[in-house]
Amino acid sequence: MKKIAVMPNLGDYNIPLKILVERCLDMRVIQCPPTTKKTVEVGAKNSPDTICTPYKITLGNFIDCLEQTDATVLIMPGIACRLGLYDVLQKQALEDLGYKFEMLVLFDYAANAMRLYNTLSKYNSGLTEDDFNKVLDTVVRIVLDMDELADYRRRNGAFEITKGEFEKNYKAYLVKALEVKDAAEAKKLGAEYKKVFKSIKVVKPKKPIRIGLIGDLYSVFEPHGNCDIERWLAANGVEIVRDMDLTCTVKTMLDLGSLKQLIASSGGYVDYHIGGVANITVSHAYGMAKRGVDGLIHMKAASCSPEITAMSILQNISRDLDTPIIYLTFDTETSEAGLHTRLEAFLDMLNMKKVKCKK
Amino acid sequence: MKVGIPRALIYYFFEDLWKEFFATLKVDTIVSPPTNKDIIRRGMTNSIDEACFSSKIFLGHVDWLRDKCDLVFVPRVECTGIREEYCTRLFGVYDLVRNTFPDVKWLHADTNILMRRREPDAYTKIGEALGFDGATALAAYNKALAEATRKKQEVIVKQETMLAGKGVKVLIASHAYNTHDAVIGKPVVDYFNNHGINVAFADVIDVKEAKEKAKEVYGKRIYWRINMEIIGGVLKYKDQADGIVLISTFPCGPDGITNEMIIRTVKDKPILNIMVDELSADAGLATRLESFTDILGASK
Repeated sequence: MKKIAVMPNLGDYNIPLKILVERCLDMRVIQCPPTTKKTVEVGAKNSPDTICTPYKITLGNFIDCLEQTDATVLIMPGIACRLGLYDVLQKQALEDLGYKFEMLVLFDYAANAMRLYNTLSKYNSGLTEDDFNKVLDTVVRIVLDMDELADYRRRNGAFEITKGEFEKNYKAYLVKALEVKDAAEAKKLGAEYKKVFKSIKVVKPKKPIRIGLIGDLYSVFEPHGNCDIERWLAANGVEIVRDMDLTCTVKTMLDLGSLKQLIASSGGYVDYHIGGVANITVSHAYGMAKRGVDGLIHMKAASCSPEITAMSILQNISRDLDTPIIYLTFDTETSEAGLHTRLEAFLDMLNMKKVKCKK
Repeated sequence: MKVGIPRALIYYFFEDLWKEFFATLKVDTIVSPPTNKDIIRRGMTNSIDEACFSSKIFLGHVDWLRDKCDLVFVPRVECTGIREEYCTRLFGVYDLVRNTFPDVKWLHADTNILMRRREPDAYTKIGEALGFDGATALAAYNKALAEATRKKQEVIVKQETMLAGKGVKVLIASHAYNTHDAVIGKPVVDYFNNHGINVAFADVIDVKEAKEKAKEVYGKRIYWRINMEIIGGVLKYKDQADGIVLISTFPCGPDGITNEMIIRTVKDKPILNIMVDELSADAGLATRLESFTDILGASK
């Protein structure tokens, strides 16, 4: 019988990860139960206080999985920053709670294709490099297309005529993506949906409020990590600009050249790597402010240290380029009502600034 | 030319090396005083609220120094070997101070083997920035490194002798910049010393040995150099100590993970977990230390 595996909720990126694991290993990956208030509570209860919020939520996800499903393998992406050690401590914490399971970490220490292959072939000795590369190509293609589609949706979602059309088609794409056989088929599917997206009717005002989103991985990717801020912004008629996605994150981690490029495109505000994905934050903030977005929303999980370093730098960018930035910290206690009040005030301010500048 | 050295963060890792290096080159230096109320106030005015207390203190030291010297020495250390990374706070601090104090002139070089910038090259660069030729600077670095290594070895031997001896012994597991800071760790160390308890430090250990020790329990997974030293030290010394004290500043990133690892791994020793921030009060600390001392006495 196939082993049943599960990974914490990581936005829509669960789909490509599922394809990767299912096709490389003899496992069935099931969907983690949705993150609820209880999930967060249980996670926080079994976590140290000063750990970043994603640790607490993903630990809650794992407890949910072990309680409610038949999963015996827990998958953690790993990579770097504190995320790279989540699984070590979560394993200890879950074992102390008396659960029996296996922990699979995809990227231990540094992320690159060879290391991923080495990790996966430990679990499936029959996995050839050719097969792995074929799967990886497919997954990469899907991630690239996902990110492109999601970007188009963010820019136009607020202005669709039939509400929910983008969402419906995006979901349909994701379902079909699970079935594609190889990279060529994935490419065809992506092209098909790009066409579908372009054909969705939108009425876009000449100069809508444009807001750039920046922040740490989890707060940007996982809707539960940011109280589904993108949905709220779209519902309030905002064009969302967000270049931060898995494509650019992986690129930065794989290749020192693109890190150098990020530093070079930061307007001289940073000279070095400042940890985590904070260089992406600074570089994108500078780029978007230069391109003239109306405002920026900086999102971070509580006690994310690289993003705290970035905040000091963002304040200078905000002042020098006259771009308002609102700083949001998401923790296990964040309430939507309080958040929405702050965002409403921020939108009002941007609107007034826009009117004033026109005169 | 006067070089200002902030007495915070990586100062405590490289204290001996820097002293010897600048003394050999006959460079005039000024080290900021031990952390005091004024420095904390300066640090807090210049920091983001959520930054960790140790980095707030660092900014306070830089603020204290900036009108008392020509250059402020803020070298950057990111990675010194495979799985030997430093905390993001430590390597982000240069870009942080640069943005916080735009008028200050910095004496600076980077060590990061991921970008092929080795430590000797960094010190050569620092020497060159001060007007010496590369060979002189490198010679001064090599001399300073030998001296610092010798001193560290001495401290390790001294601690091992102490732990092998008699008496109540407590092991402090914390970053050197917390343990030896006048506000954060010194009150704790002083308390134990005044009550006749011997104090050992987990990070007084050779990094290679720490790596081996940590590998026995966690595999090769830990990649923060300083926390690896602390964990390695805890695993090495725990059986000789009567209790363990963890000191971290709020909200320390790496400690958030590794302190919990220590607590979940070491189950046969009393552990006191002290978290310090700018609002910490002496009375509360004294009460906790008193009761911990009682526990140590009882378990003897």
